[in-house]
Amino acid sequence: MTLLEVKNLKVEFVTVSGSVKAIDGVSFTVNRGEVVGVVGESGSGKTTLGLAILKILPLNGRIVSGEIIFDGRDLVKLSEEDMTKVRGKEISMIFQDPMTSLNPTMRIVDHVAEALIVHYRLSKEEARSKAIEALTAVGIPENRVLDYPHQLSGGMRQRVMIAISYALKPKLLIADEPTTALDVIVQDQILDLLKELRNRQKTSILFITHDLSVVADIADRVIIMYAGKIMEIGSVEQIYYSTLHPYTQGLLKSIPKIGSNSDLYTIPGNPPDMLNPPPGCRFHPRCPFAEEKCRKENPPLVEVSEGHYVACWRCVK
Amino acid sequence: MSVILSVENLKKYFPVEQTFLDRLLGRRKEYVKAVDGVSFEIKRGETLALVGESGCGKTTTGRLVVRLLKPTGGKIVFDGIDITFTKESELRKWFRRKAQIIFQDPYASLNPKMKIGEAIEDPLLIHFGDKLSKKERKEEVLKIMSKVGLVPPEYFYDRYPHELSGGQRQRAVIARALVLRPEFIVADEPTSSLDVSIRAQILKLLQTLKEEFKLTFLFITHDLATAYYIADRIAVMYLGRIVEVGDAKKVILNPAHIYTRALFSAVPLPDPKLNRSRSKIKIRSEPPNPINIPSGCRFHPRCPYAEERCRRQNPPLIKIDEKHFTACWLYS
Repeated sequence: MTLLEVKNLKVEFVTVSGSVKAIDGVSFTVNRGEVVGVVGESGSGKTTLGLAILKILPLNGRIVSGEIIFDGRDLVKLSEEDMTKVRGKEISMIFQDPMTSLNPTMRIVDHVAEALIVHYRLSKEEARSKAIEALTAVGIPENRVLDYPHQLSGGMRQRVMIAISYALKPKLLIADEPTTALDVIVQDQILDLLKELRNRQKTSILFITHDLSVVADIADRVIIMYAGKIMEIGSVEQIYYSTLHPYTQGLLKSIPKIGSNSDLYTIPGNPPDMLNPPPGCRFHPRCPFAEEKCRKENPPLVEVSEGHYVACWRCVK
Repeated sequence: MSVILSVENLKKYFPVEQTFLDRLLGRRKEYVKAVDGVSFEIKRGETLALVGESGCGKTTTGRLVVRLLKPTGGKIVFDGIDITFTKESELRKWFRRKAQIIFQDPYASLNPKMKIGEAIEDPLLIHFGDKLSKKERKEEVLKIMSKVGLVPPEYFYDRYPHELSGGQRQRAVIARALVLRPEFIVADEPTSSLDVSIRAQILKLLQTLKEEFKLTFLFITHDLATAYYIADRIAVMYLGRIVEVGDAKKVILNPAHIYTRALFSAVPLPDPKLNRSRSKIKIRSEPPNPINIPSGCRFHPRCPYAEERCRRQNPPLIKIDEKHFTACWLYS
């Protein structure tokens, strides 16, 4: 069942050097209880996508057009007042650096309790006991709940952020590079925790990352973004084993693999300057298969097999 | 192959800053034992990867061996000469030319007010001064720029750091490190801040340059797959000590130390089926505070196989085979 449907979303930033189309016509769905990975490099628009869904874009950014249908309502048309009720309670978000989301003068238990008081109107005592429950559920020992954020490690701080989601039981969690700043062992623990959250509460997760390995571990489906557009969508199996887009293929071949002695492939060139994105297919200047048509016309995202979408002229019959 | 760098029982303790109250109460000064008894050798032409999580002391080790930091104890021998406590003025005469370091963030390593070409030329100016003419220096810089892929070099010579992409900046930093034709380079996470599609470019560039300039690398990384790709040998660090060292293939494909095995289990692989089917050694806790280091084997509080002995005695590096050593009592 579809929980979120994004239709032809366009987001633009106004900068001193001109306007940047950070997201340029993106459409996809997220089902209930599903983990969807959004993979892209810097400038791909993956972070903007998360911010746009919650309508918390920076002041110079705006949704130009498109629809964000969440649980039957179009968030684009929702008033700021109604959005406040959606944020946190129905859709919550965690970021790469949890310290920027935590108040340094507040005990961690109060972060969780405050969210419960605001969204569920619980009494202070009730909220506190529920908060302690949530914190222990995500692996924070009870004797640490009165700590301040600076007393915790990075992994523990990220657990606090997840505890807030755990307590509020949102339908969708947007996780923007939640493990990028963490060491691998702690990353593994946080990924396990997110999987548990999904299994127990059927929370859908939009997992935004640059790391194809992390996505291979946690996601059911994957969206590959490049320069504000979707290049490929598919199940993890389709993306990793029946890769179609040259960009996805290049990415997969350019990461060192443990136990493999084959040489690394390198995608030539650099990610595009978003002020002047290339015409036609955005990836064509770096694509080994680029033809005349790719330089002129942007390929549509077409379904090549069930659930597997690709935007590449080589796949258009 | 001759040994270019040998490190013996290297130590670096950083004092923890005391508050006025601490001093008033006469509290004992505490130390973070960032590197606490590390020994290894690197042979000429070899790449040794130093792998570990944040706080394990890998970066401190890298800075010590190029003497950006003064060791607390131990011995560093470079090219047969003891440089452990050598003065900077003496190091500048020869060592600074032979050993260079590349950092993770190329933007922080470049002066924003200096043109790329000038930045690369700077080491030549410092070490050769008037011995090289302006023209000779520029020729040398342009030559090295094309070697690292900043082509056309004449174009990049006049650019400022902010005009370059992350990958190009890292190329500039590599060029600056190479312009003095060093023999030994410490590369501290040189690809970690770059985009996935750029990382492979820089890794391959370093491989090519290693061949061409006959370089020796100490490659510091937290990424086991990168270490496996680039290194001949790998040393795994945990809380200031080396817990396992050996041939890259052996350490990665047949890890011995429980910590290495846990680390390997936690690394996600770019293969969904393999990821979800392999057996894992899971560690629940987080690394202890490096001020209060556990007794015995430093890993014992997190080790699922810890015994009485591990709590009391610190294991030495035990030989598993010719080219593979680990500091774990399970192998004694």
